[in-house]
Amino acid sequence: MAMGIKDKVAIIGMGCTHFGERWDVGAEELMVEAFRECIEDAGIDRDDIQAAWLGTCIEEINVGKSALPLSTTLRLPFIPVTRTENFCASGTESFRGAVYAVASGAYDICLAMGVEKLKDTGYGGLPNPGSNWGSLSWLWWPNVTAPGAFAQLATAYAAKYRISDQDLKRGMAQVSVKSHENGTLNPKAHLRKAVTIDQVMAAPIIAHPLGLFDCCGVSDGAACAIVTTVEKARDMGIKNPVTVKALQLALSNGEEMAYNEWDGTYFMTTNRCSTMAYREADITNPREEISMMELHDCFSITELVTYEDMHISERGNAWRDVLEGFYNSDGKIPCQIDGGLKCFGHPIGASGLRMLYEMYLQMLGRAGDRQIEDPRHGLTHNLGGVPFMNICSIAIVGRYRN
Amino acid sequence: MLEIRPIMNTPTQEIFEFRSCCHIRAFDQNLEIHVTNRSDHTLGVPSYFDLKTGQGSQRIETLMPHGEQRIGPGETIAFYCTMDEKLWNAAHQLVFYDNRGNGYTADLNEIEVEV
Repeated sequence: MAMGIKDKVAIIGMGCTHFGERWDVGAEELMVEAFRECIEDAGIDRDDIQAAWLGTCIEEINVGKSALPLSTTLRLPFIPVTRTENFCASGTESFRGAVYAVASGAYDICLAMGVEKLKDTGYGGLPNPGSNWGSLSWLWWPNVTAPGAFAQLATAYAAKYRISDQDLKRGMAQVSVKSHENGTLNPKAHLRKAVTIDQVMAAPIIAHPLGLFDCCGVSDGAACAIVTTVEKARDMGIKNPVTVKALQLALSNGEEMAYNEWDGTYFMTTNRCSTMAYREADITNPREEISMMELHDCFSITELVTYEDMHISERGNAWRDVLEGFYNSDGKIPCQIDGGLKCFGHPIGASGLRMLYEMYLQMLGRAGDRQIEDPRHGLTHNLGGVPFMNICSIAIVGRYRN
Repeated sequence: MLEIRPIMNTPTQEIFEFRSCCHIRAFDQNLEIHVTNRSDHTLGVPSYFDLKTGQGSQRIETLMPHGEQRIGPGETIAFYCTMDEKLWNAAHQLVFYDNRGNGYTADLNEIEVEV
């Protein structure tokens, strides 16, 4: 009988680059930068790594379709290296590959790397999905844009719960305000200036009701993790390592688009994925047991609705919770404590591991000015795609307690 | 009645330069000005203002967004532009207008500069 992943795999090292417009370096240098921090943290030799995974999404402009760039850049010792791609969950997918490989007993030590370099290509953000996205994408998503698709989520949500335009705008604005406030304390974030609710609400509309500050940007960056078994981590002298408590993935199956039951006000995937993750991690009351979260705040409405899909805020009440400070750094469940996608941007392949990096630092008490008190469970969430067709990945980590 | 609130060296400048997934690409927008309609009817506000210095008045017409903006009662919209620091420091008043020809002044000496 399947037992799940809880406490089978420990994270013994992590690294993360400064995110931003890194025009002076390539994807290779970003991987080296993250890896140096990671391997020093893990205290192992590069040749101790037995298998590796590379998460990257827009491969045409980064590292190509294979995993060779990771293998050659780090001069890995002729070991298995696999490239993963699953939209915005690509980084977490590389982590999942490494974690499952260790859990299976096939390897003792594995590396997960995520990298993306988007800023110096000249185009405006996430590229127009071309033929490499499949021949059906234009039939399923005719003329879709990310802001437009997520704006529809916002208007449907407001209509269902009878939330006024100004109340929803204010709730979404607070999502951005608190993330930018958190980002001021993070030296690795690109944007490190606080903004006010007035500034967010007065900013230009991108796709009503989403304004400029409701949308995250693109960016360059890399992040990575080295994982091993709990036993080996303890042999290395780490008494209570950070372990993986849950690692779940849920993908749309077409139900959102093909049937009328879905009202467009929530994510069917996240709603299910969070339930599976809590079950795997033995969490019965997430509002009490989750200490902090890094959610996929590609748009502020995504984060707002995800509070509810995580079963932490009541349906229709997330906007009230965020305005009351529930998700602030000094609130009950700090969310985007590192600044989130709003301050880091979204180098797609790196984002999932960047989120895990913050959870890892927090668990070890190494988050500096951002440190929250005695965190128990840290949750990360990626959402790739659009509300009506997406990939949701959730990871939960915590300290190993024997 | 319009309420004018300028924010020099706005953090939004970085957002405009950083962000591109929304296809807005604007550089050096270091001055943000919030214009709030305090009247009970919608007002049209042309996209320019006059900057008053000891040397006279200078019209700034390179605002974003361009064109006349319609602002409903109680609503606030933001204008952005590139502003020379020396010119800004020499200025003491900023005047916006509505489409009825009324001028609305912000006294810059009373405004805290946000950095």
